[in-house]
Amino acid sequence: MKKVVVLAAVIALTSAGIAFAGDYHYKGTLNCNECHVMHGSQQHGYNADGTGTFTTVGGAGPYQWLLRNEPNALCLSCHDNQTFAPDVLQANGGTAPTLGRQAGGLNMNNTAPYFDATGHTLGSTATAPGGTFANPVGLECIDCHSPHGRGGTHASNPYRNLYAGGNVISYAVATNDLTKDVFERVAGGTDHYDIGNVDFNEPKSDSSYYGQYCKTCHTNFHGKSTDANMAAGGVAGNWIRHPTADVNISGGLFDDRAYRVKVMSPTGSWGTQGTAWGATMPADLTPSCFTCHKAHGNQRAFGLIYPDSAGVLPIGEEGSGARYRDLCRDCHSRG
Amino acid sequence: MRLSLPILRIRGLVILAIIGVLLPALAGASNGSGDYRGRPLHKRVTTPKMAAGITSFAPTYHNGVTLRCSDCHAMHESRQHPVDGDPLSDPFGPYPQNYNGGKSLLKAPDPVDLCLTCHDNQAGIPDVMTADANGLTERSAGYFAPVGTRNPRGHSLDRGQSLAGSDLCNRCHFNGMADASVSCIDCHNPHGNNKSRNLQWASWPGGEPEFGMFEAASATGLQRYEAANIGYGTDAATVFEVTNMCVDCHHVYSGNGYIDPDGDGIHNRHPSSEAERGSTNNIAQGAASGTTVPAHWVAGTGAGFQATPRLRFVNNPALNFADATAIDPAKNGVFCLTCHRAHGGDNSFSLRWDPTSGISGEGCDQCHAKN
Repeated sequence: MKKVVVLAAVIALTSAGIAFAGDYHYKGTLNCNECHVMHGSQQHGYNADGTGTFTTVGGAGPYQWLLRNEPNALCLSCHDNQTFAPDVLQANGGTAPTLGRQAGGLNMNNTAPYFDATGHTLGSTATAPGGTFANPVGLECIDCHSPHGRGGTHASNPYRNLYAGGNVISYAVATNDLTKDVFERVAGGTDHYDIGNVDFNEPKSDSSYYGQYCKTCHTNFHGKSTDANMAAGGVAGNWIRHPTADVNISGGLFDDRAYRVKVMSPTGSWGTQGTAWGATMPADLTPSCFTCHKAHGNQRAFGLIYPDSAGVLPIGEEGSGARYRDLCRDCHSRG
Repeated sequence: MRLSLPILRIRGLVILAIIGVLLPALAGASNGSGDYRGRPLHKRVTTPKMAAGITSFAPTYHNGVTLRCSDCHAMHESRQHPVDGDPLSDPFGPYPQNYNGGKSLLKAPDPVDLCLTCHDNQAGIPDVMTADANGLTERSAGYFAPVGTRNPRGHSLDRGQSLAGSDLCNRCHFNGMADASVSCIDCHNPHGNNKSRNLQWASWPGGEPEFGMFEAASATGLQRYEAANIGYGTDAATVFEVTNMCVDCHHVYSGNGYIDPDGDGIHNRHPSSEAERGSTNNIAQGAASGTTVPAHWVAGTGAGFQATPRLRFVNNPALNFADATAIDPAKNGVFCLTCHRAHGGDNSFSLRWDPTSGISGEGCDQCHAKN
């Protein structure tokens, strides 16, 4: 899966953080020839003298949509073990963000330590837990990410080029905007994807657009406190599934933790990692999917994040501890 | 008795060699020409009549009274003086002229050298190599790199290109297209054929149909080679896309069986209009699936157009310059010359835009508007 890659991509990615605040593969960084080839073959590079590297066409080509390879293999030709693009599969063989990848790493082929049970599994034909979605040809990167971004006809691009569907996960870059769902502190570069540089706003107190996005496949796991799939009889407070929105964290241990898992804040107040909130903790912090799970996965079952029991260590891709119960105890004081 | 592995290998090689020799020979026998000319590549067996309403395509030099034997041939490799009012000096220099001639009494050792004697750096004659001596804004076919050089920006022109037997095929087959070269007379009939630009099927000279390349009525002289004065059309019956001739070497870049092998409407190769194989297209066709944006193409501004003028298209139907240049997504089709210049140009792959410009989607987004 390690392929020769497009020089243009290297150049563009290197400068992406400067020229294009946000994510790659849309508008000014949507470069057709990085993924497509017109005639199913290519003899030389794009420089006028024929030099320049490019993603080679896969052996089973030509491929539909004029792709250079099957979608997953094509995405991974840049997004696995390359220094110029975020590494999204298994261990990070590319450039490592300081604290780790916010989305963690996908798994494929049940390869230790990223077993199939540790998160989203590329190529899996399984039905999404809690829903009915299944890709008969196996889970593909493009089931979740739009390879073209949202397109030039739209004003804003979704966070990480995630398919918009009915809910766009909006995001602000560098300067927070509380009306957006996600706040990325750094516009580009290695730490653009760093755990420490991504936080989550809560534009609507009873909703999580991030959760709504996940709900596209994991249907029954998301909703408001009065939705029947979340609360018995649709009665608020009668939770039958862990809330992903429409609830606030109170009491428990969250205010005692120096390092905390991610939560949504309607005011952009997530405190300072490394310093416990204490009595100053806001009363409107809300957990959502990313509080407990890595979107891609990690080395823990279910892609869960295991903090250390005392909450004194920085939380990386796997967390900082070794037990799932300490994830629960980040908020809940039982035990 | 079972054969040992080495013997099997040797026999396999022998079989391959026999196939390599016999197939071209059989094909040649099939068209009765005595040599291998690619009848299998084209369905037509006779040159069609002019399309209704078309009285003639713009005449090109090297036809009729402009087919002057002495332009290219010399009987004795020398000439002492002009005849019939010819100028006292021509591209071969002043008289007396002595030629380093080639076969067929040519005035140069290779057809490429002969053609370029006039078609390179001679004012008043279409200049097909490097800078244009005539100062056209854009030569409709672009230009070649110097002879004998590998040209990633277009066709590589070189000497010694044989058409004998299966040599045309073998330039790419068994040798690789990346190292293949062309001669002027692969694509142009040096004795004229009354087709636009004297274009011909390399695999079957004389078998070609009418090519739909139309010049503006107002264009005369060298202005007939100005890109803005050329339009492309087809009626998909009697007049075919000029790029019908490209198929002779680039077999698999057009035709439904190659661009959409399973016929599900999702292309594996980019469509390139080719009426002969029933594989025409237009920009409006992609709207339903969201792959093209016809209104964006009509508007002609924004993504894709930032540094690149409107790309060329082939109109279907269109049998004159006005019809061939009308903007209509339901008629404007993509063909080879949409993205590439026939001879070559400044950009890799002879593209009409610079793929390294840093402007994403340039060219592509004229139809697709993804940015």
